[in-house]
Amino acid sequence: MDLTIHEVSRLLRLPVNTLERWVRQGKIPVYKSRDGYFFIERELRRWAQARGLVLSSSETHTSHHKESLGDSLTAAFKKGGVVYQVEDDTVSGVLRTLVDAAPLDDFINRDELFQKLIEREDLSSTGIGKGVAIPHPRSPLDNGPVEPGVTTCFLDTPVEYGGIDGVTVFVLFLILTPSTRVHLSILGKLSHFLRDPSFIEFLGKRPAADELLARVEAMELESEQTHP
Amino acid sequence: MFVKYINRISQFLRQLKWRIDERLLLIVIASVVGSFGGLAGVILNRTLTLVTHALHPMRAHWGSFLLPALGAGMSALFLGYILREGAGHGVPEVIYSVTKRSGLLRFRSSFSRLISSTLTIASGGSAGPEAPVVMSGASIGSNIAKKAGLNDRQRIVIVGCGAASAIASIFNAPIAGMIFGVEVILGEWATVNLVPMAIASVMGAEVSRLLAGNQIAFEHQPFAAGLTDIVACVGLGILAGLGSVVFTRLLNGVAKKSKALVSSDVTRAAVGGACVGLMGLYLPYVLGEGYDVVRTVMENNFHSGLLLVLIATVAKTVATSITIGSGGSGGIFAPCLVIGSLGGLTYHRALSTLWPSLPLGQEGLFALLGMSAVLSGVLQAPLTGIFLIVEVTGSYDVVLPLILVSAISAILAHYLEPISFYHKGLAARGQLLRPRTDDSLLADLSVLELIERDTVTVRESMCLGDMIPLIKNTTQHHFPVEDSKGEYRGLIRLDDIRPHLFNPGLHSAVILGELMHLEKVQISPFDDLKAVLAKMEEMQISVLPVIHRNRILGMITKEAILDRYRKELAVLSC
Repeated sequence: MDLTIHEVSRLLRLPVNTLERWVRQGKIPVYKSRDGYFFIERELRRWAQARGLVLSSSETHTSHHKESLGDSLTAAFKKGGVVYQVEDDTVSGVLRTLVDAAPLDDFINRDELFQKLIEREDLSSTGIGKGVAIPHPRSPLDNGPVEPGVTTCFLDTPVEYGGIDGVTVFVLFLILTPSTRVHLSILGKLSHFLRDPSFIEFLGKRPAADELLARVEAMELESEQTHP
Repeated sequence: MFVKYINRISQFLRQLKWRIDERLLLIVIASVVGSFGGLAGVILNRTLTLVTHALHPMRAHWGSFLLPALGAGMSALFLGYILREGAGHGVPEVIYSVTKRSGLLRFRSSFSRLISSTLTIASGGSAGPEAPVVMSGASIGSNIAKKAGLNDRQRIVIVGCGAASAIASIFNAPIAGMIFGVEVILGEWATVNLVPMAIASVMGAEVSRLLAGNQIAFEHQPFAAGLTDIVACVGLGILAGLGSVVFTRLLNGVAKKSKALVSSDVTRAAVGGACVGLMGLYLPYVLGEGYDVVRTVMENNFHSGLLLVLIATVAKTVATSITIGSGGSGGIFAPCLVIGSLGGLTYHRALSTLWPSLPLGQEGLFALLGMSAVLSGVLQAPLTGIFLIVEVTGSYDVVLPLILVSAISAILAHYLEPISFYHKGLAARGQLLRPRTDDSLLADLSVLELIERDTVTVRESMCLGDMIPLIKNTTQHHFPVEDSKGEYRGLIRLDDIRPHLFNPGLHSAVILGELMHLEKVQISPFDDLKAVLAKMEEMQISVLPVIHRNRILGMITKEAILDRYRKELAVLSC
């Protein structure tokens, strides 16, 4: 495929004036046609590889694009779903039931996920107070989801979780994300909403899945309008 | 007619260009350039002989000392006022063009030095015809390469080819020509350069053989070197090295002194010519390029006594320094050979006088060794010296002492005078950029190529609190500050304001104008990168704002410089 100097400039992440100099000095393989010069992609790739120059490929751009789309908390809630009537006396029991019941992607290894959640709890409890916990693996799973997901889990009987304020936990948000960056973004939004006492109160009523989703969507919309 | 011919050839070459492999293309063009370079050599040689012979009857007259004055004066007049080219003997100009102007040379350079050096040398000035032919060949190469639409790198190789073919043609020495082209002109040993240069050298030598016969400069003669000679040549190497340094310094000294004494180029060259003419009245062998002197010495026919030979050596050195230093047109190549041969002879005679029983070789052998040693010392190009002597004399038996003597001389000269005569002027102006060196890489990159234009700037009247969204939304560590008119005021470093950022009390109490630093640190888009890096080093800072007419154009970072420097290095191997 033929490339223009502007395309090569993007591929090599170099300004056009440098490339023009390289053409003049004969440092880059180029062809002349009636309307200026052009580059042949295959030859350019071979040339760059021989010199250890890394071409920025178009694939990395698209995957980056996908990732940034997934920052919506509503979408994450929708994907993660809601689990009700979980009942156990211990943290690990709760987590085991949650991991087994959560509507996760098929390719996710539930045993591995459970292990990672326990490891994270051992480091420090994810109970963030006011009866809420946000279990998550310390680092993204090896074979993790492409889109972030937040699974909400309501406990029938609150459990002793070791949270910072000692209050027993009645709701858990299991967060699974493809990368640390997305994790922080999702966590930031969620913890912002959880600062609102009316939201905690709303959660205490153990709302139905669509009600919860509607509330999250409304809150996200509102926060986007106030902090564009 | 000639130009039309070149045009037609270049059109043909341009058509060929995108159909054939680059190496093949270079070889084709190199052979064309080589033939022209060879032709230039033959033309100059012929004209020199012709004019010298024509002037010969006048030599007997007492007033003949004015001849070199007239010749040198006319040559300076011709170069300075008719063609408007600077004086100088040519080789440094070619090296300058290769390193700094990517091999571009004016077309008129292809004949200007031929004419001016004929005037200087044939009238009796002590200078060599090689540098003018090198300039001529290089210029022919440059212009053909330009016509053929070659890129800079290819053009530089072709310029080297022109220079190589010139030396090859004059001395009928293709290998020496090629090595001269690489060692002195290009300064880079790369296979891509070598093959076209070899072809051009062979073409140059072949053209000259065709037109002037097989024996160009000197007759081939058998020489043999014994063990004593090899030991003795160590002393010769040391003396030649010292002599080379003296010669180089004398050349530069005369140039500097004469410029201070006489300001007019023409008068200066004429006065210099007259001095040489006066010397020539008593010591006729200082005149001209001196090949006949070398021939006589090599044939063991130089019968003057030890003292006279010593005087001749010194006189030739002085005469050449005056001719070239005062602005006569010509090179130092042939004078080096003359000085070397006379010096070698002096050494031989002195040694055999001091130690008559020493079984030394012929006088011609020491003349040979002396030539190679002085050439290596002055040019600081030992390989050129060795191969030239081996080729012009056909004496492969003496390679061992030749290498020894040339290496000693070149090393000693390099130790005392780190930059060779050819490079001295360029190095003094900071223009000596040998390929693949740090300097040449930095000279290639410019501030305008490295500038990052998407810089977020801040106003000096903004509050500290206003910085927080900027810090959140950009990846910048340095923020240039502008005043209300958009003129550059200074720079804010994130590191400097970090402690205050988390103090909400300061957010609206401090304006950015109070926080900025480095008001005076800035660079212009036309600064060279070496100066930029020196500034960064001096200020201990990795980012500098680029300012033009008080406006900020963008920033330049050390990180970007490293990245681009590495890429520049990577594409060097083409």
